[in-house]
Amino acid sequence: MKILIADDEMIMLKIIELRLKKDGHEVIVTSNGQEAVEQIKLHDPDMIIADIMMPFTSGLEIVSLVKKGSLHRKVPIIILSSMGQENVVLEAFNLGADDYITKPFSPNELSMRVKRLAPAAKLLSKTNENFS
Amino acid sequence: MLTILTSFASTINEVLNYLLHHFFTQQMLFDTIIFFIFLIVASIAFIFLYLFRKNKRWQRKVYLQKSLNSFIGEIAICESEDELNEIFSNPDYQSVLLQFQHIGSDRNLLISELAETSKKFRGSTMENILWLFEKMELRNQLLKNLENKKWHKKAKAIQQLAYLQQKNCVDIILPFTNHENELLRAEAQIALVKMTGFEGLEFLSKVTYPVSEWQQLRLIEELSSTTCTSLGNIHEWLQSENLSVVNFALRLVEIYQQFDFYDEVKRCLSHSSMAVCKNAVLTISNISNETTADLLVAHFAGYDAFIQTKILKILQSDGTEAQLPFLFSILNHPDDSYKLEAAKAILKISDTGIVAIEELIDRNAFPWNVILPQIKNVA
Amino acid sequence: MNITDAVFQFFSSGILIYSVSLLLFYLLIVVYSIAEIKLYIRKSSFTDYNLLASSVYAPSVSLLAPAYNEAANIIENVRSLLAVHYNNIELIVINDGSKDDSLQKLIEAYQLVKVPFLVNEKIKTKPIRGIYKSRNSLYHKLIVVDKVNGGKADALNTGINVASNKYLVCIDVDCILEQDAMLKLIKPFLEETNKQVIATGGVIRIANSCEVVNGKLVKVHLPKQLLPRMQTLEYIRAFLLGRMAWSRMNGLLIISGAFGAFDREIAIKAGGYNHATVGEDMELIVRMRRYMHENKIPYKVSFIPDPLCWTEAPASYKILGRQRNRWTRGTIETLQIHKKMFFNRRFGILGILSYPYWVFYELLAPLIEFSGFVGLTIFAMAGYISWPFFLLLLAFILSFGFLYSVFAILIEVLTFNQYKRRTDIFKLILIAFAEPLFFHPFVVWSAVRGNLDFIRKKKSWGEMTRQGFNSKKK
Repeated sequence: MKILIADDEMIMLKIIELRLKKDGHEVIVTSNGQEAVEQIKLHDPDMIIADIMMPFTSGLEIVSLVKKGSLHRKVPIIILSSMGQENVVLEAFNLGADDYITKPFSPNELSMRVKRLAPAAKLLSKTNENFS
Repeated sequence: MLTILTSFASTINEVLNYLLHHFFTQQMLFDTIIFFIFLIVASIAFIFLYLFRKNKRWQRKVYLQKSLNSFIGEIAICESEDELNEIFSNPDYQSVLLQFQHIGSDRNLLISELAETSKKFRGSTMENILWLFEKMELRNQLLKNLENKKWHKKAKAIQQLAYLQQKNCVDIILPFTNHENELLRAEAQIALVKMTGFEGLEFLSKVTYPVSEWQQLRLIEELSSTTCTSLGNIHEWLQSENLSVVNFALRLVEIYQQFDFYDEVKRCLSHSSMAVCKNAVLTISNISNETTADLLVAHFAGYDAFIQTKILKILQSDGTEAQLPFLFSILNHPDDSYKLEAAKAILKISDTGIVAIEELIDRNAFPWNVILPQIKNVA
Repeated sequence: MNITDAVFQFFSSGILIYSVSLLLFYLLIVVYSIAEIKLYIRKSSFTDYNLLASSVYAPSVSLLAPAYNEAANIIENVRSLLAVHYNNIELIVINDGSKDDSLQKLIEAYQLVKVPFLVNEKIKTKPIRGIYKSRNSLYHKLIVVDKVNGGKADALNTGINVASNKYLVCIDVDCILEQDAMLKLIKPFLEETNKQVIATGGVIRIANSCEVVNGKLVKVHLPKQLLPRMQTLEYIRAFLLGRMAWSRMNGLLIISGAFGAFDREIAIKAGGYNHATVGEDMELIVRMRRYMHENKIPYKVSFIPDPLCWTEAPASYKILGRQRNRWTRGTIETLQIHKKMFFNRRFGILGILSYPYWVFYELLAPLIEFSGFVGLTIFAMAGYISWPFFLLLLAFILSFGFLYSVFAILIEVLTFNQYKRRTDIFKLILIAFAEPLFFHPFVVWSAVRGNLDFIRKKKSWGEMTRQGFNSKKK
């Protein structure tokens, strides 16, 4: 699977990247919201993992753009953020996020959640193909 | 009279004359100007030198971080001790590490990276980071930092010890929890709670300095990620001479719903400090039983406006018919906000309340012409 | 010794003594402010501000934003204020009898409906025409107050009456806030243990030519236009050096009206904003401090050197002149109202140091500078002082001015470093040298006019036309 990750912390990106690569996925690394948006358009990932607090475009805005907005794609999105407040989590799900993980987190757990959403991703990517 | 004035004026004149000719001479002005120009040039040079050096330092840091990131990353996702050793002994990484071992500031960067990483992850990743910390024998450096004379370096070391879960250092950190330097004290308290959870709160029994509201927020936040184990000492804390400790204990009772301490909290309702009373009122409304509403009404008169308004708001959810007479008496209070809150409470408690109110007051006069629509709107 | 000589002597030496004492004061300010900023930055590095944003125990805040004829940008401004990063907050927008369609626009954009709302008139204000809340739960934090026009102070007082939370944050509706601005502004209230913090203020930065997207500051640029650029340097000097030092001594007399936090109860007890002065922001702080002194309650006014709030600065001489004129009148009015504090030991540092300093070195400075310059020029022309001496005097004062500005830039670079590009820093330094030609004399002249206007008792706010923020760098 092609997975895009967006987070402004280098070490976070590195560890998630290595973990997902170990699981056999292809990983696209972006360090801010703007870059993430560009790379989504360019590479058409099968899944997106995004932090909320990032320069330029926040993770929540990306969810909104991908689920309903200009980047419209049927791609599962996992939000990975240090903000655990109820209102933020609810907003994320309201906008269409498929999962929400709070930091600090375990990369193994992330790996499991990615696996869990994988069948959905495959199905959706087939749908995307049918449309394009 | 005139002679005194003129002689006064001429002495001032002489002083000014002296100043003007000996002090504020042209030469002195000139020298000072040259001095200023020198300082200006030096400052400008310093500014650009500093910017240049800062840039260089930043670039180096980014470079070091990049090479470190791959290494730490690989370590982080290892799934067995063998894997860990394998990565560690990789010659490429070994050469990178060698760089770090020698320069003190680089070693601190390494510690900093490990601490920051450990902070962000849980589970096996964190354990791996700790393994690396042990393997590289960095604890000595951290303990050395703890002995640094500058308080912010000490505080940073304490913080990092906590992130890296160095529980064997608890005894070393404990004395700092009552240090006179506010920040050192704060970091030590947080560190203990981070590492040992609720047991880390033992400093509350001994701390003589006040625990600020901000610090209490931090402690509560830190505790929220651990499970509540022992709150046995709350009994002691609720009677502490350190008022901030009493306030904090009340908050803990509230958050962790410690009904066992109802009586002690009740006693705090008559405390000499209004701040304690305020917290006691908030706490007791969260561990309330059938006697609470009456209790609050009984203490009502002795409190300041803030607490009184709070009690009226509490009665809106916890009040019963027994409090109705009291609430009706508040309808005549000079402060209109009291009338509003009391009326809201009456409305919530009794279905016929609104009728009773309307009989008592003139619904077309201020403030009732605003209050009645407002409470009906919300209800 | 004849009288004319004595007069010249007196005059020249007077100017010199004044300049030197001012110089020494500035030196003291620099030393104090550096220590304080260093402490703040160190403390900041240990702080996780997000804690305050999410915790249920964070204090409740009422954000007051008075608005008058802001229809052009009001919807955007309110939207960016609603997005402020803080949980326990209510936003109260006070429409001060705008003549345009501000209210109508708000009602439509935010689905507002008039609601019955009891306002406890703790401070007397002009009548309220109505209170509006939103039907949409997304905007439940918003309260819009529509009232009869009464001026900024009156509007803020109305906001204070309507507010129900412990702390007030008064803000100019077109201010752009930093992400953590609220958190940083409120934190001092929670940190002090043996004194009550009654007000906090932060640094105001100039937003001209900065990139603003969706109400958030995205990129910082040095203003392209000359006047805003000059003001950037001026603000850096005033905030980073001046206010920081006074805050350390707990002698701060002013918190910017554009963004400041207050303890609501104390503000009410002190009587709320005074609408008889155009310097209502400074006057309230002085009065609140006076209240605490008179009631012998230990207290503190905190200042945060962090850039918290970005605002538009006047770009034309005309509007800048009006602004400075107003500031001068405000200062005179405030100092006059509280003249009891002059060298009065009862008011501690405020009476002994702050108040006299403001009288001699803030209020009188433009006057002394102006008369000094004119006077000395006349003396030089008439031959009573030699031209070399005159030029040296001028050079002395100029070079000290340059030194002070360059030093302020140095401190800025060492601390918050908002202008990261080296070319921007270089431009700032050039501005320091250009200031005495293009900026300073004008400001002094506006202050002198302010004094004259005060004497003529002019009381209006003047109009400030809106330019809009964006001049995106091409």
